Amino acid sequence: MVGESPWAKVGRYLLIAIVVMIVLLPVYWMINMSFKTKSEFVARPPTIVVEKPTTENYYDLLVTQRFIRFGINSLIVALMAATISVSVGTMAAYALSRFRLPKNFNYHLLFTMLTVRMFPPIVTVIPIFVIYNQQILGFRLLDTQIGLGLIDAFMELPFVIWMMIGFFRDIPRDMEEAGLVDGDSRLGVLRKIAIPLAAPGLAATFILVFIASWNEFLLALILTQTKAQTLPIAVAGQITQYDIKYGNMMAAGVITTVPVLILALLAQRHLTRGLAVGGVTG
Amino acid sequence: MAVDRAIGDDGPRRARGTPWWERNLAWLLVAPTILLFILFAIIPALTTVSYAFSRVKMTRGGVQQQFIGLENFVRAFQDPLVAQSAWTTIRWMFIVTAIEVVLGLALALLLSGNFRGRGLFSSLLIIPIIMPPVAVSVAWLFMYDYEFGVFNYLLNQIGMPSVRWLSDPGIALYAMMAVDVWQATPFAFLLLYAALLSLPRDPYEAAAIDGAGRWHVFRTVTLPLLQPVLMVVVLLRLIDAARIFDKIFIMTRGGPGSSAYTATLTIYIEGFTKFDFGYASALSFLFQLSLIAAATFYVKRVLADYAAPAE
Amino acid sequence: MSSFLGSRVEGRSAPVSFERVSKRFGAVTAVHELTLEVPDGEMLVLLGPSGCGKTTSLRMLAGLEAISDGTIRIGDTVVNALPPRARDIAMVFQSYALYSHLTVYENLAYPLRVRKLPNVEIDSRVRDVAEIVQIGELLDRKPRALSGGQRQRVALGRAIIRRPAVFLMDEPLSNLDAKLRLHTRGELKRFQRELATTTIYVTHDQAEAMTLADRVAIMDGGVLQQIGPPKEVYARPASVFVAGFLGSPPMNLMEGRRASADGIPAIAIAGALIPATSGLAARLANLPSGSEAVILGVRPEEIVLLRSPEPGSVPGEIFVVEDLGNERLVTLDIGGQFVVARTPLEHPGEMGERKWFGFDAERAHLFDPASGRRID
Repeated sequence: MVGESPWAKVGRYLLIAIVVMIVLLPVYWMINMSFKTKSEFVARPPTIVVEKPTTENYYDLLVTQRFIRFGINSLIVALMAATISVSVGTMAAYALSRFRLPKNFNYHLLFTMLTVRMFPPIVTVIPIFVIYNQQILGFRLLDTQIGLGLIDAFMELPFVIWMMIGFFRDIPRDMEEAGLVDGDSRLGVLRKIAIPLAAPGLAATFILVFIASWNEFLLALILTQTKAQTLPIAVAGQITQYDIKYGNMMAAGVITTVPVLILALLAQRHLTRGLAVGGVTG
Repeated sequence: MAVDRAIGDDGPRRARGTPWWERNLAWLLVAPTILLFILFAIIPALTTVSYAFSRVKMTRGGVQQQFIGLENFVRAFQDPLVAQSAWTTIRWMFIVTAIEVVLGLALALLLSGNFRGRGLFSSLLIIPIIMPPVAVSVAWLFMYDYEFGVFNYLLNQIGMPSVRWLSDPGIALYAMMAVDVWQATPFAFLLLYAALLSLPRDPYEAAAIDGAGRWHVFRTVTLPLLQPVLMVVVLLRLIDAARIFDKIFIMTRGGPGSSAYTATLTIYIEGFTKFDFGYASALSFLFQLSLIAAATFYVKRVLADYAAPAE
Repeated sequence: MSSFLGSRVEGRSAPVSFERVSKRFGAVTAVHELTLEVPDGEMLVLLGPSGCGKTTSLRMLAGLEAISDGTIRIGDTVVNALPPRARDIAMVFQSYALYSHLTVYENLAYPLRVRKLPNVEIDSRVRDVAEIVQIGELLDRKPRALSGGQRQRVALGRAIIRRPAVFLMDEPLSNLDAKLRLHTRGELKRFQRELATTTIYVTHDQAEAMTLADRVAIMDGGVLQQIGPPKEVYARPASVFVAGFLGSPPMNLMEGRRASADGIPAIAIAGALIPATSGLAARLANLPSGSEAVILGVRPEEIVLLRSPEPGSVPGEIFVVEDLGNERLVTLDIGGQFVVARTPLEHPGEMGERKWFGFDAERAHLFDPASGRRID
């Protein structure tokens, strides 16, 4: 940056401006459109800023079509997925970062989890569908929130393990050893020292898993039908061959995006790390 | 000593030896992971393999399975739709990944170093990455609309005819690739940019003293230093691109016609619209096998660093 | 700070013993058959260069490292299989290892909370100990808001708050600046004497070892070299390693050969013959038969520089002269070997100048080059 010519500087900021525009345009357009009335929607030329903003699209979607219940389904599924995945994954990550299991098990488990990360979900979903469709202990998992939450949790497990191993490695080992010498058990040290110290990372991981589950489409499409249908599936269901209610769709897009955006802001500090271990991608 | 006892016992904690659960704590901690792995990976994998060699019929409360040998596989190799969707998937994977990584890298290099507003810029770039694919698809679906879409409006403004973005078989797939590029280029950029910022300064100073040109520095210094991160980014993008489903399903249902069927889409159609689980399982099996074959070598290199606990 | 320890923190100490304890990491042996007895209340310092196995030994005693072979006892209890919490120890780590997410108060309280003591007792003991280690006004702070010296005190306080049978200290002063280190060293010594609790203290710093220890155990390459009171170890180093490790500058170790001068036993060094007086001659006779080589050790302060040759003196050339402010170190080159003499500042000497030196051969140390052991 030292000795940069003024032209290079102008060029740089021009480039940034262009990139920002390209990134924001579809998002802006979606928000803009979601507040337009039917007549303004089809106006030519399109209005760059909505002229007569209305919430009728949102009202129609949330109240008339009762989208709120899909939102609640999504919320429950994502919360369950994040809770299960983060607790199970954190335990495994702690074991893998603090103990050396025999027969090079650390390596094998990590390698296996990476292959899980590589599974395209479609290849697991057929047998899962069949299993979920059966009565197991008098309970059918198909079209339930817990059923979808469980498989989402499993799909994100490699990500959680990877993330948490990183956070646990950042904790000085002798702090935990001090805990042991001070009289605590291994589990006590995990609970009272390692987890509190990894808490920010833990929270970020939770949020990222939540987002991934919230966004998830294929598994939700197959494993839920009506009762437990999630928001993305309901939104996609609005698109039919003959009649696309664009106003509603734009509103639906905004509604599905907003929670994710808020959460991402909270987890922002750890997001690059999250991306690097392969979390939340489209 | 007696005085001390009187004050309170805080000698050794009474545990004589270690309880079994603490001796095996490591195993107990990984046990839930292993359990989930068995339930959601091993059992499904075995089921898939057994279905792949069977004719599977849905019945009330279960399935009926009949062994038919290689029939499903023979059918798969003769099915033009399978070949076509495999080819579509491969094209999608490599085109999308190449564009995203090259664009991301170029952007990272052009913005290399700190600049004012870097934090805000990064925050904005996160938006596409974390946006629900369904929202992305919906937003773009409307921009691509033949009548009301903003793209055709702009084309018309400069005197060009409207384009059937999503209903022309020659264009639809590429139009949807553009959506993926929009969503995932920031991902490649953010990772590569972070890596660029953390590169050591010394090699650059040495190169500058040697009077090396920019292109030369990029090839001999930047690229090798960036290679590990580059490999991770490429791997992650390939993995995700290979499973592409949501955008295509939402925007065109794999259409127009079957022109944009990818591997996942084909399996979905066979499995969940025709409910031919046997055939769909055979396709899954082939899909998984080819991915494993392609990735094993690649992954082993990336993984090595994570294998052992740090000392 | 005198009588700062009331009955509350009275020590309840126990002896420690290592019996042929070994530690192997794969093919590497970090500690080899260490045997040590530490009587109740003693302060034992494990001294050695980095990688000598001292810290590993301490960690085995703490239960943080598994024992490959041998037996460790605290009191009468074999602790080999016991987790750290059942060993009745407290430890001060080199990094202090304070719990960074807890306040100073909670750091001190941790060992007591783990033992589920009533809050009232925890509170009063935390405040007592904070008083003792003089951090009373810092109780609400987090470790990152403390200076290095303050952190060290918190670590010490956390160790003494629960009256362990044994204190373990792993280079507890090495992260302090030089001045504070001297001051804290003195305090540590007082603490230990007043608590009268068995203490194992690991350091690579010989000044710390000499000042703090009741006995010093010097290790090298995973093997115990010598154990004894500091004075004795300094006066009678058991091996070439110990001789070369202790003292600053360390003992001069000159390679020589057994010889005779006019029928009298002597040692030949750099072309000069040093006649052996009766005591030295007797020791020379103890050299393993067949070996002629010998290592002669003389402390720099026992070297006398001479202007002209005298009987039994060795010639050399001044290689370098270093002034330390209160004294002068003169290094002589005697045919490829170097000998350092500690002299008063005003002692004359120029680089390149020809000099002789002498020493009291009776007080010189003898070592067998083959085994490195001392010969008496």
